[in-house]
Amino acid sequence: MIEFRNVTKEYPGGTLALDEVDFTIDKGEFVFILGYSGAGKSTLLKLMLKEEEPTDGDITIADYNLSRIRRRKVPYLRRELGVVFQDFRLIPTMTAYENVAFAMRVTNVSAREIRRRVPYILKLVGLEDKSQVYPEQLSGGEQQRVALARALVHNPKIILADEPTGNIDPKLSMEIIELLKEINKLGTTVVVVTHDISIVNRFKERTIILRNGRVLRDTKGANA
Amino acid sequence: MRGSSFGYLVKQGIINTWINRMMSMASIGILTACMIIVGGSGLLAVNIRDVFKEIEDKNELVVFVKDDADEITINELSDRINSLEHIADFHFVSKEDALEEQKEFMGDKGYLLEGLEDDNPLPASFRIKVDSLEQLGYVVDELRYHKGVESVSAPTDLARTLTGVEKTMLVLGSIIIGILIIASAVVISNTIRLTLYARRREIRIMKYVGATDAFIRLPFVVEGITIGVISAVLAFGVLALIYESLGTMFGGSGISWLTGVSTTLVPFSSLWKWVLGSFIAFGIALGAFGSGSSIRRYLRV
Repeated sequence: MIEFRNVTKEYPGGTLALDEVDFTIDKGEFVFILGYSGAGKSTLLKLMLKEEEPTDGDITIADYNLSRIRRRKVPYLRRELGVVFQDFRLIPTMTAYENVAFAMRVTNVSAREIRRRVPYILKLVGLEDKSQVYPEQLSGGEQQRVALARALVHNPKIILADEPTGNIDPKLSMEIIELLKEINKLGTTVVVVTHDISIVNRFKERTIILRNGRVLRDTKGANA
Repeated sequence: MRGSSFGYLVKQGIINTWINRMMSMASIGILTACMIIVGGSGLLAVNIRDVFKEIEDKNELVVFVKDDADEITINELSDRINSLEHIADFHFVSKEDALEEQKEFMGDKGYLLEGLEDDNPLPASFRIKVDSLEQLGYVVDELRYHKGVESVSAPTDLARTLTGVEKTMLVLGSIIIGILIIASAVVISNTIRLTLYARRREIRIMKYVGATDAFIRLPFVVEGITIGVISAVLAFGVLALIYESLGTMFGGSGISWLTGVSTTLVPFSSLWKWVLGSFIAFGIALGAFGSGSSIRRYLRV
């Protein structure tokens, strides 16, 4: 599902963000990518979203070879990926419902399909009562769930969560991860990028540890 | 793209124009002013062309034939004229015809010319119409030294002045219009840039959830086109009012800078479709171009 083959990313100015990174994540896996800031996590995400190009190596995501994909096709790659950000990135002038519906509308989905799908997804993340509420009236955890609903709404093959617990308190963090695990059980591949070792320790899932742009350890099979 | 999406995006574009109304108004103002100037120059040019046409239609050049020229020479001259380019029409006026014409011209004093038939002082001539004022000099040069030609009379100075005026106007007009078009494009593009800035978060999210470039771009292009079309309609209204009132001012009052040339303007009824059409086309093109050029940067995520 996600394949990094000896991926190196060097930024202009000589900063080596990723150095020969190599791993494979299979369909249906739940994986933590753990690392301190500066370890290369953000670069990894940017490469997966094709916001940045690797200096060397090959990346394959959901059957798209990222070094060969045409610019015109990038939106379709991104539809296979649902992204959840640390800072939620909700639109403040839209209600929870509209924020989720917006993601469908801009990908050319029919109005009927939107009316059917959005309430279902909001219910899945436990926000069916808050659909008409604006982001600023929601708690951090609730906002993150709206963001998750938005990521899920067009049924992506992969969920990428970038520090999804970074801006919410520990108890709610656990809830978010539990929710992601539920989603994973439904068959979606989930990748959680985090620097929070306590979460990783608690959930005992496959963990790829990044340090200074290299894979320090991959617990695949070891079930650490 | 499905219809409901298209409708949604167009609506977003119009909402953007309204949310951003201060800037929209500023660009509509500038664009309207540009169009009035451009359209006004266009209408002026149409009217001047109209006057030129009239002068050209009346304009004749006269080739006087030497009295001693025989029939063969006159036929040769006729063939020569016939072979020249840019001749719209020509005919021969014999000495007798010229005298008759002169008598008629003098009206009741025509009797003064009685008895001159045998010693006719008037020369025979060719009256030639040229299809364009610009070619007058060329025709004169071709015929002046031809065998049997006494002299050639033509308003070459007038022709030169008129064509000069026309050319200068064309060049100056093009430069001014060019500058105005660039200014308008910059203004529209800046207005759209403000909307883009206000909506940058939404654009980022749209990119992340996999919206295509066309989808993201459409509302902004609609905003540009909305501004363009509103400006076109406003400019058309203002220009129509100005033109009609100028028409009543000049109409039949006899202000004329060239005698024998009509002083009425080309009627607006024959021009309005053309003016409105080109304004709207201009507005749409400029709006689309202005927004397209400013959005490119935001699409590179």
